[in-house]
Amino acid sequence: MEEKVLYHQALRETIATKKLPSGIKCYIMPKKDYVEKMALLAVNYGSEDVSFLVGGGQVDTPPGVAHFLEHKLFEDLEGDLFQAFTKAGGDVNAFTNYNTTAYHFTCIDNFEENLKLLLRLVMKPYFTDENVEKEKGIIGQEIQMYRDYPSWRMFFNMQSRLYQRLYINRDITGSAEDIQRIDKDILYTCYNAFYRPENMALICIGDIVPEQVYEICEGLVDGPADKNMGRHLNLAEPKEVGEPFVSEDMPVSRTLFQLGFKDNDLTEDRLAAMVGTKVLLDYVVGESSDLYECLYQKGLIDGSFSAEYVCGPSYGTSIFGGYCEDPKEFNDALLLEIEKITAAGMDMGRLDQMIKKHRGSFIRSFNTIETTANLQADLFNKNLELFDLMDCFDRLEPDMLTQRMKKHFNSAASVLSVIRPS
Amino acid sequence: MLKTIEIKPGVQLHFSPDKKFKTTIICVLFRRPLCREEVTLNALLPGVLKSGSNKYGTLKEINGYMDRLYGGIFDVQIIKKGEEQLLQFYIEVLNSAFDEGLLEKALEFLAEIIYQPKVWEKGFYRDITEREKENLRLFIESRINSKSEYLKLKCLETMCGGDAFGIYGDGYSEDIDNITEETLYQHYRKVISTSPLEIVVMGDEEKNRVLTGIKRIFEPYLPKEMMEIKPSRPYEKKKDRDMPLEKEEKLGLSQAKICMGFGSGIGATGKEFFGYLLFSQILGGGANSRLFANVREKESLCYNISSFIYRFKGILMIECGVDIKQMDKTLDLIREEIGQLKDGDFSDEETESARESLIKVFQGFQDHPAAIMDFYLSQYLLQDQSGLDEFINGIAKAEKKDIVEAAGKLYEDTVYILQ
Repeated sequence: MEEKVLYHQALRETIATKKLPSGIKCYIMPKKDYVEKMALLAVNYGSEDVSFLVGGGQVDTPPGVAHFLEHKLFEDLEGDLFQAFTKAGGDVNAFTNYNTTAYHFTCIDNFEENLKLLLRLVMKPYFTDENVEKEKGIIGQEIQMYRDYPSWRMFFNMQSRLYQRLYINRDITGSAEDIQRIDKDILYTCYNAFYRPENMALICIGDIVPEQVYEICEGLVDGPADKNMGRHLNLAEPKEVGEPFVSEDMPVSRTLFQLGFKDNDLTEDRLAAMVGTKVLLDYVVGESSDLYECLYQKGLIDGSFSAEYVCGPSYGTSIFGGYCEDPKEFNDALLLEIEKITAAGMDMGRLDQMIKKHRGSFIRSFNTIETTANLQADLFNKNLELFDLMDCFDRLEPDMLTQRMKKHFNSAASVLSVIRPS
Repeated sequence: MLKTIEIKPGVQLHFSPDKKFKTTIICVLFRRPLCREEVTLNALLPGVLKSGSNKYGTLKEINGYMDRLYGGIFDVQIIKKGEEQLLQFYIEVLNSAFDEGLLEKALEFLAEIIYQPKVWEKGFYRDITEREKENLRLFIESRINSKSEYLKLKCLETMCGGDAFGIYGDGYSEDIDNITEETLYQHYRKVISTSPLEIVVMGDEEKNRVLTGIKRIFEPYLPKEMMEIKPSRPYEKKKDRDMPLEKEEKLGLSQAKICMGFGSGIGATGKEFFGYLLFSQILGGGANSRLFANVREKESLCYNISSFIYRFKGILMIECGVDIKQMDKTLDLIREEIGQLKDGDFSDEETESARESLIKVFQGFQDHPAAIMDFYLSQYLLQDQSGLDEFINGIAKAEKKDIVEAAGKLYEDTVYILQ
């Protein structure tokens, strides 16, 4: 594929994209005045891919394999790659979410050397029975650590009730029991299915020359001989939720809640839906809204309150949350306000104000190279690019948003998850 | 990089005309010495002051104004730095290249919030004060919800009990009931009329324009005389108690969370400090450190383990989470690693790797506005004249003997365990 170079006037940023012959897609944003350079390699494979298709058949694995792979790729024949990065002045890390496994580093000098290490890390797996067993102790403690985070527990309680079939209803790490079932062979099966150039994106930001990246990348990235690539399974998620309410007691000082709405309106224009929903949430209950002010004054919510929309290729969820003594009262007030707004129609002045705010926040996000790289990684599995987001603001129409509000905020598709003081 | 310009005695502008960021940050900081008598009063001011001013009467009006400034970010908060409690007013807007005049609007807005609060007779509004008292009380009680933060706080409190640094920057719930809208307002008058003031401006703006703006907008409010604040001093060893002091708190957690606090008496500047920084980096500063390599990777005992330094006090802390049955084994291993470093039993390779990692971290600050601001503010409060380059040079020049010397001063003071 030809290299495509775009300059965005309002953002004052340039991005070069190119799909290399191996199939890997490169996104390069040169930022000359930054001292740090960053590369992030995203694999379109995450904790949601518990079951997937290869060739004609379906493969079923224990939950937590994507995350386990992320840990294990840091080891190769010669030892721990962490140390090789440190020697080259690279600060390396990785993360796994529902749809992506990403490996990234930042450095100041030796960008090329670090990039080569990153590609080696991802392209050269080395799993043995012994090193797989050893990792179970570390991941076991990671799982325990997250279990003690009230907000993490609350979130996964909510997810497991919201989603009946999609594997986003499990912990990303899998459970302590799940990881016991993982072995070397399972890791290789999943690795071979998804760790392929055509399933990867390489995102580089900083004072970087694109041609150099293409060259290094083409020399080191190749796919396995086996032509059978893993394909994501399209599970049909029912519109209904499993259970509308879940509560757990933990050592916390006061009640915490999350209220999630499952998006059953996954329309064609996913980008507009994604950006539009974020604007909508702010319109309805953002800090400058009537509802926020009313609930804050009542003492029902406080500065910990937030509302967000998160989505992947197969799902979308609007989540409201924070400290609140009576989450059901919040739920009722929210639905009433949405009813009011949809009946009266949206206020154009306020909508413009919200769009202005989100446009400015988006521009600001380019201050930090890590934020920009993570955002592009998240867009990759949705087949979208950074600048699309900026241009999308122009497409937001009040009618479309009102329709979306009516369809999306349906109490039958919502789950309230609560953590109460034990 | 930030340059300090005196507006008048006790009032400084710290300015950096950085071209690469999209936004301009303006930060106004009132400095108070941490003391038990006024800590909660100070902690209550952010909530009350950001609830409304004369011109922006409500939270909704303030936030609506921020929306119109292209999603400007505004906050008032308390920051604890060493033995000081800073009342910080923060605003971040797109810089003047995106929209002419945003700089002045932001400065005017901050001055309005700081100096024109909503006042009723002799105090703040009662309903606002009462609501924010409740919010603060709940906030203080919610410390326990973030186990890692709570653990560090409890370890520091146990360690520094009677010192200023042992005081919680966010205040104490038992003080709240006695505060009224009138006493709080009187305290507010005292804060704005006696506290030394630091104004930080960072972004693609012209210096003269910034100076003119600040003089025009802030000068009428600036006090005639200001109190003096003594710089923080390193933590001193407690002579009247066991070392280390061990405390356990049972919360019914899935794992034991350990926090070890160490004293050293090492100051925040100079050769010895750089040796200390390197020591902490070799010990538990990252994936290449002793603790990570041995306690996590070799023994598979934990997922998170790290060490770090509270620069203002010369305190080193180690934090990790392990299986409850493995607690003693983990503590032994940690102590063993420290013992080896004290004996100078570490390679040049380890030193160089730690040095490179640290240098990279501090060089990287240049890409993060918040990090630059924090660094220069710390330098200023510590009365350390050196800039980021000189600081990095200090790390580059530290030798093995500086590391061993710093390690020699380290002593285990407190172990706090949450289960």
